[in-house]
Amino acid sequence: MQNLRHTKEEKNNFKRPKRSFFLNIPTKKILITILSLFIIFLVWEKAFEYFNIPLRIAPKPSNLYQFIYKEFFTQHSSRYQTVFVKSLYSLRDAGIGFVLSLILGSILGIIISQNNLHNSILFPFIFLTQLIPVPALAPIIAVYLGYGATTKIFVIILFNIFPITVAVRNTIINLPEYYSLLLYSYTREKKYIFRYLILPSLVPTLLINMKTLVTASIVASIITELPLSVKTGIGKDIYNSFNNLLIPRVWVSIIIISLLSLLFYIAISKFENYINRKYRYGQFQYDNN
Amino acid sequence: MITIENLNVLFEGNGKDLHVLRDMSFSVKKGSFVSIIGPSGCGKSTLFRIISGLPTRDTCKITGKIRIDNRKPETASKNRDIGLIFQKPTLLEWRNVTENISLPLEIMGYEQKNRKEDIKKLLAVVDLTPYSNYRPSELSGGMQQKVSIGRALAYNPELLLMDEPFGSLDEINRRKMNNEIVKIWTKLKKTILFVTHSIQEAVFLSQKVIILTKKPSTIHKTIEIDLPYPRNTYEGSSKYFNYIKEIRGYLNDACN
Repeated sequence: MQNLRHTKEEKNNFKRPKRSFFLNIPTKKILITILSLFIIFLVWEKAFEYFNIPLRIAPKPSNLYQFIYKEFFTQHSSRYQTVFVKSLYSLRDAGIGFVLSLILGSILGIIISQNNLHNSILFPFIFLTQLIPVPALAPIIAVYLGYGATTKIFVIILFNIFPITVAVRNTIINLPEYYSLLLYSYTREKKYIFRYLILPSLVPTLLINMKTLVTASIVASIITELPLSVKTGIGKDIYNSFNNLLIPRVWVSIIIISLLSLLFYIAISKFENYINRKYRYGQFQYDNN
Repeated sequence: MITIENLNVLFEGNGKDLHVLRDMSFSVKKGSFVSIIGPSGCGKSTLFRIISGLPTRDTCKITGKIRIDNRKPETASKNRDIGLIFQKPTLLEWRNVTENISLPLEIMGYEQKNRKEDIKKLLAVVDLTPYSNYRPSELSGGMQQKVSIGRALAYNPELLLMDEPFGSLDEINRRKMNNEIVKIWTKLKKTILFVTHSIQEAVFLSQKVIILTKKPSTIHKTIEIDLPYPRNTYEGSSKYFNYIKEIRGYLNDACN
């Protein structure tokens, strides 16, 4: 039999391309990205100067730089909450909503996968969360749950619950039949089938959905702040800044929140790759065919 | 050990019922090796599933008597007297060879201390001791099937049901596995009911070969194979060849 594992010598002889310190991306790629960003900023600055585009339409990179300097590197930052700190408040609520929707969505997915009756009763309500514009419901929900973080988190859960429930349900329904029969031949107790087959099979599904849910949670958290009287979030700050024509503040806030979303997305992707490669949960050699 | 009397299996459909097994009766003695052979789609796997006590579709109507040591298949299965080996090894990729073999023992609540010793012995029986820490995808198809045999033997069932276990292997590996299964059977003396497509395999392995007709399937002929084990040395003999010829003839009749 051919041994698929590499010997130590083979591993030592294998030369990897030079990679940057943190993201496992080749250094050359990072340099190209930085250079292209520099060129884009330069063209943007010069074009706006040439065509004399007013600040209320869009800011120049120099306006953004001035704002960033004032916001983060002067005494202003010690006296007032910066847009970064406000973003963290929104992220905290997004994080709570994300974790709760993952847990509740998984539980619902497991329940509706068990039989058709559960599916027929619960699925229309879950589907409803996909049909209605959930963030617009925030003021109605606020009547019951108040105008604070609870409503916000509830809206994030409603926003996220459909995709995760459906993904969990479909994964369980489509488990290869032979594996279910095998476990059934050992035990009739569902808790063992759940522990040894269903739970490990759900790992890749949950990981892949976490990537999209994390960005969706951040978006939902920010949008929901607009109709609510939440004072600490970045969504409300963007709204107020826009009304006061603080356009560079709006742009920098959006850039910060986008970068944070990207950071979470990358972190979860890395985590997903690590878990899938190391543990191989839910990887079946044979499907139902 | 296994007694089947007047077994009829019917799948109810929309206006058209499908009669899969018709008036089937046969028995398998304790400690014997019996093969079932028949045309494709004749209901061999349905028979396998019914004997193993696994759930069937809601539309499946079963009449007749099936007994394993005078118990219903479901009871025998609950009492851990049936070991199943499917067409495909159905190993869990997130568990290594040792963990796959110990899966039924973990579920059935065997003590971890005893488990380790049992697994060691089983790894030796299926000749996989050096590969105990390998993942299923790192093994060849034949080795994967050996793991699934080890797993089926882990809780020491009296009856092994094997549904075309070597069907997806190439000829060389299939030959190897046939030799292995004979070795295991002569050592452990389990009752084996073996579903196969291959006449050669059935003659090489079994003491008795049951030939099924096409659907609605019933027993066309039962042939006793009177050759000593291991049968490698008899493969070129005229007696061995005659068995193959005889079964091929009956199988051709059964298909028409």
